[in-house]
Amino acid sequence: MKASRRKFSRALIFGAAAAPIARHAAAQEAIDPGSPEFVELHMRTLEAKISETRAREIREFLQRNTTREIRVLRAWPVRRDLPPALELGVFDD
Amino acid sequence: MALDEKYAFAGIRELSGEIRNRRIRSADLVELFLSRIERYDSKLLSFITVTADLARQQAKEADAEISAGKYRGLLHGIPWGAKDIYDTKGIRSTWGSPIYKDRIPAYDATAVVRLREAGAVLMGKLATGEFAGGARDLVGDVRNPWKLDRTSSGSSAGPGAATAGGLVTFALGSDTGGSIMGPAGANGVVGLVPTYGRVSRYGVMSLCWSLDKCGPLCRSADDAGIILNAIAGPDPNDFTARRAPFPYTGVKSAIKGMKIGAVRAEFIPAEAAGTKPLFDAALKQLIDLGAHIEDVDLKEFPYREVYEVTNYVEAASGFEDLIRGGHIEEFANPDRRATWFSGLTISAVDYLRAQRIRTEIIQYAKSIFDKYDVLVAPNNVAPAGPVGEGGAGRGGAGRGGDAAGGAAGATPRYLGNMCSISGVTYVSTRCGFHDGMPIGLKFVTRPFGEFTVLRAAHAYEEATAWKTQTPQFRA
Repeated sequence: MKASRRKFSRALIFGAAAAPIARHAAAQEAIDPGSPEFVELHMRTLEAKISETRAREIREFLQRNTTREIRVLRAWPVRRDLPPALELGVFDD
Repeated sequence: MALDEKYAFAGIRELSGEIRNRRIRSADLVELFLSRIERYDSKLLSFITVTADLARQQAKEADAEISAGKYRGLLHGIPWGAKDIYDTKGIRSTWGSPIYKDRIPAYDATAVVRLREAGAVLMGKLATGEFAGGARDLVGDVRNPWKLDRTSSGSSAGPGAATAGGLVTFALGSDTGGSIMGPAGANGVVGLVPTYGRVSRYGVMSLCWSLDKCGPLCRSADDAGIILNAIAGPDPNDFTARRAPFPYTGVKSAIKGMKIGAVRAEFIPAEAAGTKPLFDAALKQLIDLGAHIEDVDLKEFPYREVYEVTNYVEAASGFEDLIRGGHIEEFANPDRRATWFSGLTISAVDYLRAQRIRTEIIQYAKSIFDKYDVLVAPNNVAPAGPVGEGGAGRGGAGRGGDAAGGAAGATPRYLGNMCSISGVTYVSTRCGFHDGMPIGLKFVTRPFGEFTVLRAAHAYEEATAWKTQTPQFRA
């Protein structure tokens, strides 16, 4: 294959792949806790039922606390094979 | 017969001896406590519901049985109070919230049944921070009997204040992330958080299924052992309640040779708080009793973040109907409005990540006790703060208990968080006073090691005189 065509094909392949990747990244960003879109998505269903003051308190809490906590946990290295501690009712005596 | 006020502050074993030998009657003890509730509780706000008629009836039955030679044990005829998250059949159980102010359960919690079967006498339902968080409930902020302008911490605010104030002999509270430890330290009573799975939670309001524990607030380590003996054990209604015997007949006070790890970072804030001399003296006392103490540093983990994410998500799941229904506007406790909502926004993958890190923390927590018999640390480095601060919570000194770290005041968090999420057992006992307010010392050990922590606390109590002082309800 001519170099120019290979280059074109490569651009086509990666360009075609880039669009959904970019959309996925945007979606991923949008669902990260604390991102404006994420907060608004969750606030929308609640806002009709609570006061503006309460809504502001919740937004601030999410942005100040939850976002930080999630990011700390996401940054913490975890062995892939480590299971969750959901069986806490079972300790060795 | 009107009893001397001293009986309002007596421990279980002493009262039990007096009742069994019929030197005093349970009925007279109940009248003493009812009189004190009338005199003092308008200032303390430690009771949500006083069950005077029931208490009188149960006391009468206890006295009759004992007279007939049917003695049920050390708790027979002893007055107690239940945090208002323990369901009591036919008796208002509000969970501390105006939303449930008229809630009447149709059955008793298992722990309530077990204490009734042991012959204990229920004085009433004690104030709880709303939905087991903080010190504010549908009645208001619970006060501290040592100084009435100070908080009782939370969320077992009523149990702590009523026990310290001589309105009950003991109480049952609960601890998810500090709700027994906080009030125990703030009020200067003994608080025991049993191992996760020791005590059935059937009939107890569930806040976080993987964190909640039921335990006593009382006058001594020995009292804690007596109470745990009555309430511990398997329950077909709660599959997390383990078949782990706790055959308590008393606790030795000898700790010679006990290996104790003093969690160094937890003691550091005591310097700024002015309480360092108390803790130095406490550690010296343990050494004088023959224990070996060395400093220990906890391994670094995101303890707090694991605790908070677990707490928010499980609470949000349990109370999803209230949150999505917009009822958070009606909450008495402002902390709950934002924290619970945040639980709805955390993904399953992030929750599971926290639980996977938690697995490592649990393994680490157990491994500590391969080297040490117990860990020791301050329960509260500073006295209870002003009313309205409510106990250890977000931001440190004084907001809404039920966040790991323990009592009101500037208290380090990491050991408390580690204890909460690893299911180990720990006890707090009084180790002195600062500014006229009690300060607590905490012993921690491996799961199902209650005998060990109670032995350490008991030895310390017997060697010191802190528990003899009683509050005066100063304004």
